[in-house]
Amino acid sequence: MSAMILHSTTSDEDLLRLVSTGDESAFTALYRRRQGAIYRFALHMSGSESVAEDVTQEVFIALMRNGDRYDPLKGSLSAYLYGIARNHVLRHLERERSLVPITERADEEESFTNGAFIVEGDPLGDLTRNEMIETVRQSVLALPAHYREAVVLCDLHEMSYEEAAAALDCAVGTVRSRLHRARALLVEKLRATRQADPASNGKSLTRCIA
Amino acid sequence: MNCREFETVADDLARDRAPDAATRKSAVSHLENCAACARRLADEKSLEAGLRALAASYARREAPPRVEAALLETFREQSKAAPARAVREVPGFSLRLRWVAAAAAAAAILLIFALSATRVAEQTPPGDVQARKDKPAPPEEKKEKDEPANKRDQKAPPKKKRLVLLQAGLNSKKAARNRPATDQGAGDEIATRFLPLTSVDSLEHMDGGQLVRVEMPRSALVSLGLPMNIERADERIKADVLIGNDGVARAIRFVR
Repeated sequence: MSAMILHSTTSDEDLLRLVSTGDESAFTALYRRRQGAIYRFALHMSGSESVAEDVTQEVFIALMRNGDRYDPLKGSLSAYLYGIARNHVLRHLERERSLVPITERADEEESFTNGAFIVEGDPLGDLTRNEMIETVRQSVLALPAHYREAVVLCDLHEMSYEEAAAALDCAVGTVRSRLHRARALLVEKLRATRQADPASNGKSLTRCIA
Repeated sequence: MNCREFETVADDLARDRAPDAATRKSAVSHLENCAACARRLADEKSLEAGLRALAASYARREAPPRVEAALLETFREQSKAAPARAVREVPGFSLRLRWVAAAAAAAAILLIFALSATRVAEQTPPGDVQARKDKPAPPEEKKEKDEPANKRDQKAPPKKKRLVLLQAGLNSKKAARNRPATDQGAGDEIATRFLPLTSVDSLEHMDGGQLVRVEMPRSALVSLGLPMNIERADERIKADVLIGNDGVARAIRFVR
């Protein structure tokens, strides 16, 4: 426990150095510091908890086995981890596209979504808010992968364009243009959803979630 | 500012990332006279609010504890299997001897490896190299996708040798004949180039696989968008299917 407290102020790079010497507490500290973001990235990208879990595990196994491949001069350790996660997610998405029926995945998503977002207090307000969040979530999931990852990193994870570019291994301009296009697609999709649903016609999404 | 210029900054305005005060001021004055752009900005702000709510609803989501437990178990096993990574000081002569033996073994493997690669490279004709460039990359090359690109260049030289061997393995039955679109087999076998069955992107993310020889009716060519002689539709043709480790058929080539 004392080692964990000590590691709370240690940089990612120093923790990785300790990991390479077999320091388990350093590995644990690094994992606990970064696993949440990696898990959420994979979850936003795939819409599946099981994929997010697998990807998180694969990322940290890659780190413990090949951590020496990380070069601090080329970006932060966080961006490096996102880069590994991204490659694994894309592979999972490719496999899923070939093998898993869409209906099954939709059932799985619905089951955890309902459980995760229900809050006591204002059931009607919560329901409306949850529906809107779900609409946004589905719209993000429906984006092509290269647009989706730009939205997930820059909007949902609040990364700068530079950080996202390092994680995606592309130019800053590419991130900007993908994000711009992705947001235009999302606006179109949400506008179409509002028009298709008479119950929500005229309501502002901002109002619903405020 | 006109509508086109506004379009380029609308998402930054909604996200409070407008480049500078002058741009913001110019955008605001444009909005006063353009209902379409005002609607566009309202949509962007609505989307921004939705995305923030989505992010907030996921903020506490983390990998379940079983992932940490499994990783720690793997970490301990790895530390046991490779004690040198975990030990900071070498305490005795026996351990040093083991290092010398391991280094000697590694050197021997590298020597055999280099000789094999050289021999294969000498036997591989220039025409075959061109044909290989047109094929989906071999599985070993795809493993590099595990890591961001900035790490790949560090290992470039040894990777080339391994690629030569792998490609030679795929082409082991081929002999030299400089044909642009086909490979000539060692006997009378001629193979076409590999045609992707899934997206080219999926081939890039392939992490391994194997080649399986199959027979299929000639009519199957039509489903791949290839020309077919209708009079020979009932005949069977041979093909090699490249199957990924996930069991998905990624590419096919036809063999005669």
